[in-house]
This record gives sequence, structure tokens and C-alpha cells, in this order.
Amino acid sequence: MNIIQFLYNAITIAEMEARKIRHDTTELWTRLVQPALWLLIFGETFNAMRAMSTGSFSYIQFITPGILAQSVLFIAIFYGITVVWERDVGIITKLLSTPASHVSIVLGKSLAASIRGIFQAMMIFVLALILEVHIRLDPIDIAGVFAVTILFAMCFSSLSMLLASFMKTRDRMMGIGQALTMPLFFASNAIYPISAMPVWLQYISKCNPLSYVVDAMRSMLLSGSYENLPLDILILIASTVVFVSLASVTIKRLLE
Amino acid sequence: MIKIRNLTKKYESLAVVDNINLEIEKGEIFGLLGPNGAGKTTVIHMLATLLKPTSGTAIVNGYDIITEPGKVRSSIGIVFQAPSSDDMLTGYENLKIHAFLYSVPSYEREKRIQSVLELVGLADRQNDEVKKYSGGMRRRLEIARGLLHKPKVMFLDEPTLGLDPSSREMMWEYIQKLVKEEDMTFILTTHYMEEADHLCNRIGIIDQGKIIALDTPANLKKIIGGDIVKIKPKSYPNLENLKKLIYIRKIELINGEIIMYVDNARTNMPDILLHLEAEYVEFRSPDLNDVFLKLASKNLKESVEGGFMERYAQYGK
Amino acid sequence: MLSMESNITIFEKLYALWLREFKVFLRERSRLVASTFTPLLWLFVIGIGFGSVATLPTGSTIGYQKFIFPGIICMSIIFTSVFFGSYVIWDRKFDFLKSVMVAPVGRGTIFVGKALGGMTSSLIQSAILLLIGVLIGITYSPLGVIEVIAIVLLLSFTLTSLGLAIGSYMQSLEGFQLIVSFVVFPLFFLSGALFPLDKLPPWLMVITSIDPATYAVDAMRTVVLDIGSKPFAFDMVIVLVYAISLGAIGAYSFGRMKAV
Repeated sequence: MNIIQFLYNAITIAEMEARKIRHDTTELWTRLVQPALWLLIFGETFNAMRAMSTGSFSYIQFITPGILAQSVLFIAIFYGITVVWERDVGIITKLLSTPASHVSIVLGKSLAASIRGIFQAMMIFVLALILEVHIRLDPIDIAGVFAVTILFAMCFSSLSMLLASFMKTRDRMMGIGQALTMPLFFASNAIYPISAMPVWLQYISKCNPLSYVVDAMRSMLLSGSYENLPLDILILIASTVVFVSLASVTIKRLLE
Repeated sequence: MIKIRNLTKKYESLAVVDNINLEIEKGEIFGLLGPNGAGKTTVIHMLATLLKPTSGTAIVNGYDIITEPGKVRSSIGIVFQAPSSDDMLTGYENLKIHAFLYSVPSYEREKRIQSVLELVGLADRQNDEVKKYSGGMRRRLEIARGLLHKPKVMFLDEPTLGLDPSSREMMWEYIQKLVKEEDMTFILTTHYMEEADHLCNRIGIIDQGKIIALDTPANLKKIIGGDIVKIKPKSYPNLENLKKLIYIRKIELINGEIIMYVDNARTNMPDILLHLEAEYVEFRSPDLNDVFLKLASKNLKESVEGGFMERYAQYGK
Repeated sequence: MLSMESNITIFEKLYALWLREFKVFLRERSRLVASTFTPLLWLFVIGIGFGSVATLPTGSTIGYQKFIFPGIICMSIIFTSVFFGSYVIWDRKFDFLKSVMVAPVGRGTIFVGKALGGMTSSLIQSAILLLIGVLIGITYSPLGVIEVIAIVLLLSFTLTSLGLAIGSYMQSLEGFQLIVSFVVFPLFFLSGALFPLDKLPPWLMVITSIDPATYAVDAMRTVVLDIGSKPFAFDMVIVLVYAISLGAIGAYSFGRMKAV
């Protein structure tokens, strides 16, 4: 199949998904509550206490990119539930029986998940502005943040689809999502710097794609120093490629 | 044993159960027969005090379902459409918990649990978790649970729904065994005609919330008026000659086949065949399916035209 | 004589309802493991991590990890109890509840049986965490243990009732996610489990003072670490008031819940 057809398929699927989001925005709002509370209560409080040594930035500045990433993580990691639901009503069967390649299906679906991710990120952005968190509002940086959001949502929604191919039920997906989000979030640099962690946790954090996302967002929203950015994005792209490929191989298990 | 008086359940303005009156005697096996959505389960739920009627009431074992729900619940056992045992617990544990809930006296508890397990053939599997049971075993456990407190009335809501044919026959055997051994009144709902025919001594056919026929299976079959004979004639027949035959109640020509309702088809068949040349002949006794289809389609028409009961009365003549 | 007999049967029925919940709790190992794992994550990842960078005005030499320990116990109670209550949505979906409701057992009795089950689950969870507390250097006095048990039972009753109240209005399993987002998480975050409340902006302090868990956390902190901000008796009275009112609301909602 040629590359244009491939991209066309992926984008068609993404567009189809995007239409569906309009019909059901409850999930988006529901999943926004927790990140909002983190920023609003956790962030504000520790900021007010000035208890955290986070370099030249205030704690709420420090945590904002972390919470932005968290909100995207939540919506992406539970994306598999939608796929399981689609499997139960037969949509997946139909989709997999079309001539579109499995890679383009997974890619299209993960693109759709990134639309949800952008919604979450935008809301947190707005919340941060309301709370008057000082972040850099350079248009190129903001565009960069959303580009990272898209990649990140694709990365974790394809991980979620990979898990869904094995879990196959909504209950189990709900459970595994619940079990994964907190460890991923805690074992990253989202709410405190890696340097402050115990050594064993530092190793875990460095294997966690979320750390690189937060680092990239932090460099664009706060510091404006881009020396780590190429590495961050490289690692993010690599993980996305790995998860999309794995999910493309396993997604046919959903039919079993 | 059970007296149902003007029982009605409406959801918004839609009557799911529409002014039902019915009496069921002690020791009967009464079948409520009807298609899905006819209102059978709603009737059972109201009799079991799980659902409040919109109007009307019923007396179960001498207690009013609205004013004395507690006493009604002590008097009844029920097997739901979907198995409701806790599948994290073993069969034995499920029964033990229900023995407590029904206040089975402590000196009898163990004996009673073991005897119902024995009765439904689950004694050897009592310590397995219910999630390891097959569909038929779950259903039998439900029956055991229903019998635990020796209820006066037992409700079975679609007792064989979703069971394979062999489990279904086993279930029928259990029910018949119970009827023989325990002194109980049974009310079961089903949409399987042969089940109602096989088990019940009286049947109420329910459609769109109304009871449209109420009689023994044998009498209901008489509504059809004889055996059903189907003949494919070799040439176009002269139906007038056949219509003169006294034992033929009704005759129709459908798709080139002659359908006749004939008294005692077995002995009259040779005579019929003198009047026409047949390519093939089939005949069978009517079953409740025929009754149901006839009544239900009738009812559908009547609900537009009204006045069904008058016509139904004519059927009997 | 007659009334004594009926008292005995009520206790038997409560025992049966409790037994069911307890056995299910013991057999759902994955749930038990998951609900122990999350508090540990907080205690050891956030507790240690934050402890090494944050300096809390906790008023003494107590480190951050120890400071949040009472809060983490309360967190585990919040999650366990509200979830436990709202599992009634599942019970209804899978018809177990129908078989109980058709038995000659009052709704009030079923409600109390459920609440007892929730309290037992919370107690077991808390006991595990209290033992783990010894690892991070927490010590308990015999009276302290009794007081902790009292807090656990009271808070757990309050929140199981809340869960049952909400669960009895919910029709679909999707509602569960709403409960997590809009009830469980705010209860936890606003309780002061993670930070001292006296440094909060005033508008936040008003909100935290509505959260019943706030008082349980404070009481727990008084008992375990001796650094509570309000007297133990005061906290307990407030939690008790919540227990009574949410218990009443829960029993009422559960009573009018449709059986089928």
C-alpha cells in the first residue's frame, strides 16, 4: 500500500473518532477533575508554604507542566476502554475487516486520542492562566507544547490499545488504568525534581517516558533552555513508534 | 393460594401489566406463558414484593403484597431469570447466608442445606465457588436456595432460559420431583410452549400485559379445534366437498397447501383422502404454539378493533 | 420473649449479610492488593521524595513521610469505604441484591449489614497500614490503638453510607468514574492528608472544613503523632455528627432504591 493511501486511511479514522468525541464530552470533563485538583490544591498549597526547593521557579510554576502532562496521561491511558467498548458493539470487527492496514488503524485511533489530549491540555492551560501561574507565552513554545501533547497522547493511547488487546474487558481495563496512572505519575519528575528522589526511584523515573514529556514541556513553558529538548523528543518518538507497532501487531487479538 | 385483584403496573402511561385478575389454587403448577416483554416477569416481581403495583393488589398465602410484604416474602421462594447467587462464594456459603436471612432455625440449618443440595444434585460440588459452576448448576443452586425455607409458593421466572436441551430436561425432572415430594404451589413463567405443556396443569397466556386465555393445556389446545392436517393436492381441489365433512372444523388454502383442523385425524384421514388426490400429507396434534400464535395475532387485531373477549367466548362454542 | 426472639433473628441476619461482604472482600485479592498498593506508593514515593526536598512547617522535627502517615490511613479508608458503598451498583447489575431483597429482611438491616462490611474492610486495610507504619518508626500506645480503631470505624461508616447513598441513585457502571472524580478524590485532597491546613488560602480552608475526612485526619494525627491542630474530642464529635447525618441519608436513599 502506498504511503498516501496509508495516511489517508489513518486520517479518515481519526476524523471519524473526532466526530464521536463531540457526542460525548462527559468523559473529558470527568477526567479533568483530578488534574485540576492537583494544580489547584496541591500546587497552590505547596506554593503558599514555600516548602519546596525547585530551583529558580515557584512550586506552582514547577508543577504546571507536570499536571499538564498528567491530564493527557489520564485521558490516553484509559483510551483502551473506548476500544474495548467498540469491540463489544462490533465496530472493531468492521474496522479490522476493511483493507486499511492495522498500523493505520492504530495510528488513526491514537491520533484521535491526541485530540482528547489537546482538549485536556488546553483546559489545564486555561486553569494555569486563571491562577496566574507565570509561564512563557511564546507562540512557538506553545505550539511546541501541543506538538509534544499530540505525540505523548499517541504514545500512551497506543500503549492502552496494546493492553486492551490482552485485557479485553472494560472492568479489567479500568483496573489496569487505575493501577498504572499513579505509579507512572509518581515515578516521574512531574511533581518534584528527579535529583531529589532516592536513587532507586531515579532509575525508574529515567525509564518513564512521562519524565521526558514533562522535561520537554518544562523547557518550553518555563526555562526556555532547549539543550535537553532533542533528546526528550527523540525518546518520545521512539516510545511512540514502539507502542504503535506493538499495538498494530496485537490489535487483531481483540477479535478472538 | 394466590388471588390477584386488578393488578396493574404502568410505566408512565404504558401499562406493562394491565388489570390482571387471577386465582391460583394450592398445589397447582401454574404457567404464565407469553412472548418477551409480555409482562410475565413484572407480574412475578410484583407478587414477590420487589415492585410496587400502580394499582390493584394480590394476596399470597393469605398475606397482602402491599400491606404485609414481610410475611409474603417469608412464604415464597423465587428463582430469578438471571442467576443471582454470589459467584465469589461457594454453593454451600450461598445457602448458609440465605438460611440465616430466612431465619431457618439453627438446629435445622445444616440438615436443610444438605437436603436441598442433595435434591438438586449439587452435594458433591457444594464447596466450589459458584463461578466454577455451569449454567445449569447455577440454576439448580437457585432452586435449592428457593426451597431452603420450605416456602408455600415457589416462583420460577424462566427456569430454563439459556439452558441447553439436556439441562432443560433435567430441570423439568427436578421440578416434577419437587412437585411430587414437597407440598407447594408453583408459578412459572416461560416463553417455551413445550415447557408449559410439559409441566403445568393450568396456563395463563399473557400478551401485552393482559391475560388473553386461561385454561388447562388440553383445553387450550381445543381452541385450535382438532388436529392439524396439511395436504398438498395433485390438482386444484374442490373444497366444497371437503367442507361438507362433519369432522372438518375449518379449512384453508395457503400457498397451494390445504390446511384443515380435523377431529380425530388419525381415523378420519382415509376418508379425507377419498375426496382428493394428495402429493403428500402431514398431520399433527396442535401444541400451545398454535394456540399462542392464534390468540396473540387475534389480540393484536383486537387491540385495534376492541371486543376480544366476545370473540374469545365464541371460540369455546 | 417475642421481641427478644426477633432481636436474635436480626443479629443473625446482620451476621449473614456481613459474612457475605467479608468473604467477598477476602476472596477479591486483586482488589485488596491494589488498595494496599496505592497508599504504599504515596507513603514511600511521595513521602520519601517530598520529604527530601520539602520543609514543612509541621511545627516539630517530624519528617514529611511521618506527617502524611495518618493522612494516608484516612486516604485508604476514603477509597475503601466510598468504593465499597458504591459497589451496590454492581450488586444490582448482577442481581445479587435482588435475592437479598426478596428475603424477609428489612432494607434498614441490609443497609447496616453493608455498612458493617465496609467498616470491616476499612479496618483490615488500616491494620495493614498501621503495621507498615512501624517500619517508618511510628509507635502506638494501647490507648492510641483503641482511638485509631474508633476513628477508622466512624469515618468508614460515614463514607460507606455516602457511597451507598450515591450508589443507590446510580443506574449504570459508568457512574462509578464520576464518583471517583467528584467524590473520592476531592474528599482526599481537601482533607489535609498531605499538608497542614493552616497555611492554606482562606477560601480553600472554608472548603476543607466541610470535608468530614479533615476531622478524621486531624484526630488521627493527634493520636499517632500528637500534632493535631484541634482537640481529639472536638474532631470526634464532628465526625460523629457526619456519621449520623450521612448514615441517615444513606439509609433513606437505600430504603427507597428500586429493587428491580
